[in-house]
Amino acid sequence: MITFKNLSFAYAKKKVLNDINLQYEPGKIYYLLGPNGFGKSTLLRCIAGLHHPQNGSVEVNNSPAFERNLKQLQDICFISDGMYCPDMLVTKFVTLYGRLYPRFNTEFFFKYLHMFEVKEDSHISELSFGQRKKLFLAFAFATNARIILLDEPINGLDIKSKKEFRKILAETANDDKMVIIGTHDISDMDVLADGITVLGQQKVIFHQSTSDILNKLDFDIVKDPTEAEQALYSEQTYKGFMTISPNLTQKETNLNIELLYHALLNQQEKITLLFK
Amino acid sequence: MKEFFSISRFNKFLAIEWQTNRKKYMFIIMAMFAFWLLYSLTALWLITQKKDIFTNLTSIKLAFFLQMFGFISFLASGSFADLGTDNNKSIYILMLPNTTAEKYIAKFMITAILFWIVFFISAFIGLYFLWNIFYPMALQHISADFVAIKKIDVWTNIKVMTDIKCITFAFFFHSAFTLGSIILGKFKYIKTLLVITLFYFALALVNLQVKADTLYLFIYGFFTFSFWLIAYRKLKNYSL
Repeated sequence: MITFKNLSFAYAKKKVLNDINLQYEPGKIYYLLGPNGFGKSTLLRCIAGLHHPQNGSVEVNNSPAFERNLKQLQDICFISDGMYCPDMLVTKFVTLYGRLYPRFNTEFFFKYLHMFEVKEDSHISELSFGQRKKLFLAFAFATNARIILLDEPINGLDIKSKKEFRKILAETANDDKMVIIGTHDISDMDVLADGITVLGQQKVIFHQSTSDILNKLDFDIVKDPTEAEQALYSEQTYKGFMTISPNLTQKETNLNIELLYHALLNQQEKITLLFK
Repeated sequence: MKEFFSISRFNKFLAIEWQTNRKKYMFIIMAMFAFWLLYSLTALWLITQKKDIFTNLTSIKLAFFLQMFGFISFLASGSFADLGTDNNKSIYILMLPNTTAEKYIAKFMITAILFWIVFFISAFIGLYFLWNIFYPMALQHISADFVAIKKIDVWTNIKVMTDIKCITFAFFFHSAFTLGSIILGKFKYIKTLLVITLFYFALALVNLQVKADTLYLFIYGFFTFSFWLIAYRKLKNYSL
């Protein structure tokens, strides 16, 4: 369980997060969305205990994240966008680093590595940005850490690897593990989300579970422009109008995170009012 | 206790540290040996100009202390060089599942303990070659009526130079540069050196009145332990 209590954080004089209150539960996959520079990476780093809060606190399993105690470090695997790793053979990398995580599964690591088509006999320095990212993702999932924090995980991945990433994500999700993904690219990942957090300027503008979102919002595609106008939010596509409306009839629809995100950026009040 | 320090985890961290920085450490070890080679070559050249730095105690001491303080400060300053300068590397070191004590002691062992071992070996071999091989060789070439000189006892000379005062200063340098590597951003080495210089002058002024060597050493010793402790605390509470 991760709990943010009135957390505020600033870089020198630039305030990035202000009075954040959030809760993340184990066994779920969360997407953390927001425009550039609105604190997605900062929020993830706060969970990893890399930022000392200016005010308030972040607690990971009831102890302050900033303590960075051994148990927390073994339970959290954080993959940042520009992850650094010294140059060595992939096999050496997994031998040296894997044994630091008590639940590390080498078999899974090589399985994921093969799914991502990264050669295990290559040197890390020889890998491209995307391949290196795949290596770290394979490692992160193989650690079996209870909290996996991924900052822009599919940035730089090719189409096939994105598909494999979704497959691994779905495969590794269990009651024990929590995955928080800070991303811009949410294409085709809607089905995996258990919860969504959207950051606005210094604050959280939306934090809901997928089931609550689907209970309260109806995602649809309509052809009629007048029908689209009546919706809370609509976007014109070649298929027609993608709309978000209040789910008054408890209709079962599919979540469209991208549409919801755009709706929140443009019609924030209308959407959030439904959740109060 | 295992939550604080475990030998098994410590060894795993040392293995990673070696894998990561072995080229840097090997280079420094080679540089420590090369230092005396360079001194010997300079001495050989200078003796042809009728200047003797083979047995000139001031020059020898200067070189000896330059090697000691230069390398220990350089190593200590590089122990957490990425903190404050490279966020990705900082994340890497901070997120490794080892306790702060394990990370700190590992760096301490390399930059302080291992340093002394390499330093003494390199100084011994360097001075042995300088005094007992290059010097007689040089004398043979510059003087026709060369008489074989008695071998110089290198170890006794090193022991004389490495007194308690010298060791206290060296560890003081280590502690100050280690602290500097954690709390300072860019140009850690230069900034720490400046602070140490100011500190030295401030203490020297006080010492003018105190005039007691033991107190002087006690003050440096006190600051050495304080800096090590502060460095550990700062590393534990490091925020990006």
